[in-house]
Amino acid sequence: MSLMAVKKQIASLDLLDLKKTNLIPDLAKSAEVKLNEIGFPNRKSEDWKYTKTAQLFKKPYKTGKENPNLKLDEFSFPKMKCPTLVIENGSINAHLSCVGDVQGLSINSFVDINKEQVEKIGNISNKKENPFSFLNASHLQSGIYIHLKKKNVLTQPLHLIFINTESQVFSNTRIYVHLEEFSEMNLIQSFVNNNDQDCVTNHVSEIELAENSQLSIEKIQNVLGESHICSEYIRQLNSSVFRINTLSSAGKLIRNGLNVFVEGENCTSYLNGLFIPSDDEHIDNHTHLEHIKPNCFSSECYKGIINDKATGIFNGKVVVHEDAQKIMAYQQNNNILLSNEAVVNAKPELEIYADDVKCSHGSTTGQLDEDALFYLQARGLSKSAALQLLMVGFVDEVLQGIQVEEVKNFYSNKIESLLSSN
Amino acid sequence: MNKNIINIKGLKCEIEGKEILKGIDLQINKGEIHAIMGPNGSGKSTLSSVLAGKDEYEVTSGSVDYLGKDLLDLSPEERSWEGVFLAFQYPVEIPGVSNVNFLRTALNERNKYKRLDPVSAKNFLAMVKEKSALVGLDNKLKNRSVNEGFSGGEKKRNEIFQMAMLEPTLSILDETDSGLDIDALRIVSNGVNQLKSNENATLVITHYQRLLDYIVPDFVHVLYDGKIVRTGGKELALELEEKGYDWIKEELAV
Repeated sequence: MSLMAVKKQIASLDLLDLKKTNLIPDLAKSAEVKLNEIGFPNRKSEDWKYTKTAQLFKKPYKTGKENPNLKLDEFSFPKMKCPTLVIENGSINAHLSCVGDVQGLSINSFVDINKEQVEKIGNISNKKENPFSFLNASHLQSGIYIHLKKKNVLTQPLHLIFINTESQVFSNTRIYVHLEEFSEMNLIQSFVNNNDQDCVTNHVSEIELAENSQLSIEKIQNVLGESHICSEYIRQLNSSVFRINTLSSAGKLIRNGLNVFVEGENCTSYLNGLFIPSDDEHIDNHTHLEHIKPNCFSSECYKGIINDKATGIFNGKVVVHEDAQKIMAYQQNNNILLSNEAVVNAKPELEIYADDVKCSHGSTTGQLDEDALFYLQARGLSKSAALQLLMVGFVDEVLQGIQVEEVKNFYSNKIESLLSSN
Repeated sequence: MNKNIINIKGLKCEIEGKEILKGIDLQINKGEIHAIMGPNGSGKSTLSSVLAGKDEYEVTSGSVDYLGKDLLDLSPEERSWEGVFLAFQYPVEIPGVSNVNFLRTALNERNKYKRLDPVSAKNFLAMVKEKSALVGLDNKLKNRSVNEGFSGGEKKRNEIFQMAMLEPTLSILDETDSGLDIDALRIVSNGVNQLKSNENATLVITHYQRLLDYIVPDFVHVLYDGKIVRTGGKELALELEEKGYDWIKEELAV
């Protein structure tokens, strides 16, 4: 796929919001230059070997409008009454958003941020050359800057709901999250839709965690029929804790690129994920974690249940730099194939340049344990109940890591109903 | 009144074309304990798997009547609902599935089949407390994942605990003594004995006579090369222990 062809299909996108500011265009311009330089992923790009993105650009896209009748009840977590921001078809929907006044927390559109904040944007994502992230910057539709002042600990999570309500929408959205020293918060990012429609969301998250700050992200991807390129770039400073649960239950083509740069000592990072593609869905999880400083801990656990003709991918890479002594880095990936035509590509990678570290990685792919199935049936579980219990048991390790109780319950139920329909 | 629980007639089965059971006849009545002994490879575990409904074995001829029903026609779960229980020789570890949750699901599925109300949380917990005391199952183990990280003895206790919860009519204990030390053997046997009544029956499959000191059988059958070659009282087990299985093999060769 040539870059020209890609650009042609998204030429008519209206980058409305950001024209109002004279600061962002610099970001767009430099991203454009970079994009021209590296081009679009092709068959030879090792990083995109299992995910062919050319199919995304077979037709032209447009920018969607606000839908006055949009209801979000099924996507919100009413018991929590948490501040919620709605991004519809790539633009902030002010009517449905309700942020309120949370102490220490400021949430602004990129249109309204100061020069110092503007200059931060792109700094973390530029550490890796991902054409989709450059495309995101050059065609940015809306951006949200989330800033939590030091020593503030939020009791309620912040919920961002990304929803496409029209077909053929291509949205480029970005958030920048900055947690100051000793601050803590949970962030829920829900990518959802209510119709099976052919949209593309190209989303970038940049996250800056100052010393002793803690951030947990619950990332929900439930976008039947849509494609989703989602990239996170996280920079961790001393003693910060970062945790993300990537929960992908539906999507035509999903590519998660999670990049963590551990630049401080005594940091903790948990990268967990669950992917359950069915039909001909394709879910790709790429993680890249760099231990740059000593005395840190990281743990990765990704579980996949792949049905029908679907494809699941796990490619996890941990790089331990020469100075990163005494770190512990664990990586685990387990997959279950429910049909003969289901495909898994698993590639755990370790690159270690330090000599006093504890690292492990492993990946398994197989079918459901027939002996366990018979055991449960012999105790009086119907075959379908036994299968469901086994699959829920298989993903339990990931579900238990979800920090926000209501999300955990919601997702446990969701997984149960999803798995029982098999 | 019919005292018969299970009636096996001329049961033959094979796996991947190889005949394992070559015509088994066995009748078990209410209130009885039967033991099946036999050397390795004689078909003991195959018989228990076939009765529990494991589908890798193909029954080629014979019949199994269980309380007036054709047992071979039922799925493994239906057999369980009808009161057949197999205590596994190697209980399976199932990570992520909690022991009590799974049992509650099992009880409720059975109740649904029998058109009974689901077990209330209160009754269920009372039952768990009572039945786990029977085999001295540690409280922690009940809430852990099924058999995950359990010792050999704990797994076997868990089997008998589950048996107590499900209150079967026919219990099949497949090599329940393997991997047990003397103390655990006593506890597990004690549990089995307490569950025994005039309305149910037990089939003990074992390699050694040792277990039969604790669970005293009414009948002992010797299984050799896919057939029951001898049947007697509990003294037959002692004779076997003394003379070894070669004694049977030699007698048969004559």
